[in-house]
Amino acid sequence: MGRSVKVIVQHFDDVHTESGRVACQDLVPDDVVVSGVKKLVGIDHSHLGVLRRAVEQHQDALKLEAAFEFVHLSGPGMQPLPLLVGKEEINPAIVKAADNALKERCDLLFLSIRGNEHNVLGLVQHPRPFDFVLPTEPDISLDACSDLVPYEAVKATLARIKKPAVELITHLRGRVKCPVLVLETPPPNPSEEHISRYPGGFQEKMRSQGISPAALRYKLWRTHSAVLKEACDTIGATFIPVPSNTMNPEGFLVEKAWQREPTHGNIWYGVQVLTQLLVAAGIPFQPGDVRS
Amino acid sequence: MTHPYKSLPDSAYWRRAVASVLPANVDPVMTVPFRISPQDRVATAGSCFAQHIARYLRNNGFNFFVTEEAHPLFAREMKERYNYELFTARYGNIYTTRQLLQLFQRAYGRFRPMDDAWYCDDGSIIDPFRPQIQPSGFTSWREYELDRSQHFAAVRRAFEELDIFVFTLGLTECWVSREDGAAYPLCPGVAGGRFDPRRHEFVNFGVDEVTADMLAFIDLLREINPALRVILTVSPVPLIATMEPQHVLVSTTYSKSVLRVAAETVVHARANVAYFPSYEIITGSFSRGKYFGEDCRLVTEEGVSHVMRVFLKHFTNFVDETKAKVDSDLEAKKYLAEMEQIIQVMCDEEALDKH
Repeated sequence: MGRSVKVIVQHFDDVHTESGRVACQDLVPDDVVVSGVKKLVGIDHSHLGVLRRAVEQHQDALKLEAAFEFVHLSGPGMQPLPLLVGKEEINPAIVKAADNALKERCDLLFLSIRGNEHNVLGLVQHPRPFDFVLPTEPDISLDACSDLVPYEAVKATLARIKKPAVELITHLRGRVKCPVLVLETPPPNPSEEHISRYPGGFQEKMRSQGISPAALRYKLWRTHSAVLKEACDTIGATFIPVPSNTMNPEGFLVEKAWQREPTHGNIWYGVQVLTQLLVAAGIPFQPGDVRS
Repeated sequence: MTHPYKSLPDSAYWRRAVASVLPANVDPVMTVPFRISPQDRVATAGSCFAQHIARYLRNNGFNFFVTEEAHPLFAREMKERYNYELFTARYGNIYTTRQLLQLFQRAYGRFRPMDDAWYCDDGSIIDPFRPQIQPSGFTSWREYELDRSQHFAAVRRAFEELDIFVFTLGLTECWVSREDGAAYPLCPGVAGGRFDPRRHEFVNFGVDEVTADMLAFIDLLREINPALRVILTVSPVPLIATMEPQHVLVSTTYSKSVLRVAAETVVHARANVAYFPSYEIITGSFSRGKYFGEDCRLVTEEGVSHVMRVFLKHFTNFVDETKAKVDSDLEAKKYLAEMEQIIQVMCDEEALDKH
C-alpha cells in the first residue's frame, strides 16, 4: 500500500516539519519511522533544498514508503560555520546535527556537502584568466588569451579546497551502516546571459571581472566531480552522477533546470534527482507536475 | 732584491687571502665587469645549485625575471611541486651547455628532437627534456603540446627581454639521442621513458665541446639581445653518479675541471661575460667541508649564504629585502576565501529561499 512521504527538516538546533517548528528534543524517531517505511536522511549545505521541495510537492503523487529527514548545514539564522575546527576536527555542532538525524535508524544516507568548490575557483573570471585541458575530453575549446595551467594542479587545488567536505563525508560514512550516496553537484549553466541576469552574490565581482567562459566552468565542474568520486571510492560511499536528462548534449544544465541564481538547480531538477534517488533506494515513484 | 710577486696584492697570497681570513670572510672576487641595477631583469638557468641563486635574487630585491609564473590560484606548495618560478622559465634543471644550446634552438623552432615525448603506461606523457616538471606528467597530448608551446613562448620572451643571464654549469656527463644528438637532462628510464642502448648514447663532454656550446649559445642570444650580460658559475655539487668506469670522486673532479676551464675560456672569448666563483667558495678548503651537508654533496644554507653575500657585495650596491616579500600564497588564499565567502552567502540565500 502506498504511503505519503513524511518530511522532517533539521537546522542544527531547530527542527522544521510541515506542521511547524519543534524543538530538537521533541523529535521522537518513532514519529518519523513507521514500521516498514524506509528512512532516508539527506545532509547538505544547499543543493538538497530543491530535492526537499520536490518531496513536499509530490506527496500526493509519491507512491512510496519512505520517510525523509533533511539536515541543512546552512540556512535561516545560521552563521556560516566552518566544517572543521581546531586541528582539523569536524565542527561539533555539525556532528551533533548529523547524529540527531542518524541516531535511531537510517536506511539510506544521501549527501551534498558544500559542492560549489568549482564555482569558488572559476564561476567569476579570474583577474588573470586561466584554462586547462580536461584529460577525458581534451578537445574542448580553450581560451587562447588565458594561462594554460596543469590539469593535475587544478584538481589538487580543488581537492585542497574540498578537503573539509571530504572529511565530513568520511565521518558520516563511518557513522552509518547503510549505503551512503554522494550526489554530484548540478552541471554548470551554459548561459552567460542567464547568469548575468541572476548573479546572486557574485553581481559585483561579475561586473568587474566578468563570467568565466562556459567551457572552463564545465571543465571545473567535471574536475570537481572527479575529486569527489575519487574520495567516494576511497571511503566506501557511492558517487551518484547527475541524472542524464538534466544535461544537454554538451554536458551543461538543461534550461528547464535553471534556477534564478548561477550555482543551483531548480525544483524540476530536484524532482529528477529525487527520482534517481528513489530508484537507487528501490522505491517506486511516479512524479506528477512540477510547481516551480 | 725584488721580484714580480713583491707588488702583488694580498689576494694573490694564500696566507693573506685565505689562511689568515675568517672562513666566513673569504672573498675570492677581485673585480667584476659590470654591476646589476635594481631595474635589470635577471634571468637564471642551470643545474640545481642555480635554484639557490634564483631564490636569493628573488629575496634580495633583484628584478628576478620570471616569464612563466605559476597562476596565482595555486598555493606555494603547488607551485613548488610543479616547478614554477625555480628559474626564469619552467625549463627545470639544465645541466649541460649542450642542453642549454638546444633549449634555445628548440624554442625558436631550429631543432625538433625526434624523441619528442615519452608515453607512460597510465597514459600520461613525459617531456623528455623536462622529465620532472610535473609530478605525474601531462594528462593528454593536447595538454603537453599546449604547455610546451606556452613554455617555449616564455623561453623566447626571457631570452629577448633579459638584461643579465646567470647560468650555472653543472655536468659534463650526459645522455644523448643517437638519432639526432638531442641531449637529455636525465638518462631515459630514470624519470620516464625507456632506456634503449640502440637509441641512447652516453657522452662525457670535453672542454672544447662545453666551450663551443656555451659560445654558440651566447652568440645566438646576442643576435636577439645585443645588450646581454652573462654571469657564469660552476655548480659545486658533486656528481650523484658517474657512467665512466672510474670512481665518482675522480669523475667529479674531471667534470668540474672541464666546466671551470670552459667558463674561463668563454669569459676571455666574449665581452660582458663574468665568472663568479661560487664553486671556489663552497669547495675551498678554508671551509673545511662545512659547506656540504652530511652526504658531502648537497650544499648547506650557510654555504649558499656565503656565496650570495659575496655575489651581492660585488655585483650590486643595493639589497632590498622588503621588496621581495610579496606573499603570493597569501594572495591565493585571500582570493579563494573571498569567493568562498560569496558562495557561502549564496548557499545560505539558496537555503533561505527554499525553507
